Amino acid sequence: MSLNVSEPAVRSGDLRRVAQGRRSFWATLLIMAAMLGLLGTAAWMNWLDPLEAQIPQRFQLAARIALALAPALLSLILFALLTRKNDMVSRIVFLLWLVTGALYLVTVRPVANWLFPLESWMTALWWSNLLVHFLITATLEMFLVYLVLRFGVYPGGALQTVTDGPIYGAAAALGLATTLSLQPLLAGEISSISDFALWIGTLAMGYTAVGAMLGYFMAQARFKRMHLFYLVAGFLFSTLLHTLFFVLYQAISAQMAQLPGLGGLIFAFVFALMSFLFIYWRLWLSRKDFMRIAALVEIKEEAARPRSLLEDVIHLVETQQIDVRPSPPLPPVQPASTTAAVGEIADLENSWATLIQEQEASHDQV
Amino acid sequence: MTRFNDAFVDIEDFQPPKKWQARFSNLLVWLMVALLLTGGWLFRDWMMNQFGNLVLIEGEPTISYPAKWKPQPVAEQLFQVIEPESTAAFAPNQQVAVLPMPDEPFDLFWPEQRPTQLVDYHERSRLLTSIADGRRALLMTYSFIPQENEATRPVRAVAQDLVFELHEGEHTRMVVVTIRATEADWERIGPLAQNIWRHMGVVLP
Repeated sequence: MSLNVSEPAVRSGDLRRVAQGRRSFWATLLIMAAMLGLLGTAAWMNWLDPLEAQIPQRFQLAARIALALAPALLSLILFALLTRKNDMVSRIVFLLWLVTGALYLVTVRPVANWLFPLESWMTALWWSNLLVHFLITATLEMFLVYLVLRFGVYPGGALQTVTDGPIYGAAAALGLATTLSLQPLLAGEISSISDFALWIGTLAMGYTAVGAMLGYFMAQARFKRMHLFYLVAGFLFSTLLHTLFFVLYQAISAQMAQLPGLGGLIFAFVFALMSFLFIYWRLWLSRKDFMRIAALVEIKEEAARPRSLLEDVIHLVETQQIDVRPSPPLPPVQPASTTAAVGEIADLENSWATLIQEQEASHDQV
Repeated sequence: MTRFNDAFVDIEDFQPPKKWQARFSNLLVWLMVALLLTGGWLFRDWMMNQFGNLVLIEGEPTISYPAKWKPQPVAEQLFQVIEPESTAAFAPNQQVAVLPMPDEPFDLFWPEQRPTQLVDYHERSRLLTSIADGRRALLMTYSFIPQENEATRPVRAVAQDLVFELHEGEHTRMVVVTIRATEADWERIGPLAQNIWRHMGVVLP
């Protein structure tokens, strides 16, 4: 392996910092998936409707809103607990979730309704759905996530590691998912809480996956000098993934006519699992690369460093980086006694000679 | 297999992009979004031109029909269009009839009336829904044997009726929009019918 620069422009410490992983993210994802799985099971077993029936009528809407917020809020709280050492990340994650959800309501939704009133011309044909999702819905939604990340975390010091990209992307997309799940509820289009729970789970899993994918590409483009088209290719890939998620979700729901919601949720789990496995694999490779480069840079740094501590100290004294005072005076140097040393050496020689003679005598006797 | 990076490492790649590189990449994303949305806009325009609109009375809901289907004069109907490319004996078609308002609610009257007009009528589904302006509508799906086909081999046809009220001054009438095709054609025409209903703002499940 060769390193093609004599003096590295980056420091090994920075590279090692960028390569750091965040286990809390993966742990949060697993727990979130487990929570949504439980919610889906409860909906499938029809446990939620009897539970809701016990709630007074006037509180039922509040209960449904709480249910819509629960997956995202619980995940964010869990993530914050797991990343207590780094409060900044958990705060940013919460802000991204909130801001993206709110921005969707005031930007994407009105623009989509004004420029592309989908309800008036969108059809049930699969190819039409595919094109509408790819060209309009997915593009607008992924662009919102992109803008939030680009202006929110990309320029500053919020992006500390390559893993932060997927974390922030997932948080922003989860904000979208929460708003999208609340919309039909507030419009009164939700009849059964079981269907609603399945819908919440599907959206949360799907959006988290596509958001994390976009975040991954953005983090790579932030920490590495990728090809100029890398970021736009990443955006396009994420948009395509978003489109595929919804088109396949609709197709699978239509196929599983008896259990459309459950089929959709299972598909969302598989989709999220595949996406996150891909992201994990790419992050692992990226981190490995960063660590390898960090090791190489460290060798260069070591080579450029003075060889001994004394040289360092002399350098510091010469450059007046440390304050050296002549007092207290050094103790006078006592010269070593030559005659005494000669006497000791003569004693040692006599002892050796005596020992050798004794040993030779014992050999002769044998 | 040795990866490229294992053979040769360019440390220049492992540092943040220069300002112009970051800006250029960002600009490319903006351009891509503009391109995609322009595509979306053109697609919307094209899709909207796929349907013609029949205006019965100004201010009342318009009735959509496939723009490529040809109008055909029929005595009993107000309006009829058929698919011109079809070679089937019973071509897919869409009819619009404006009928006097019955004494009883149309959603009860029409499911009783329709079987009396058709041969071997079998109802498949019935949905009480609404159209664009929120007025009530009935969407019925059924199959029957078309009388137009008596000379040839009998084929079963599938049809959907959308029934709603039409207000003309003080008078109220009943509009019946029917889309019909043979069972073989219905796989293709069914989604189109859904599109037409969606285009008219019918709330579908």
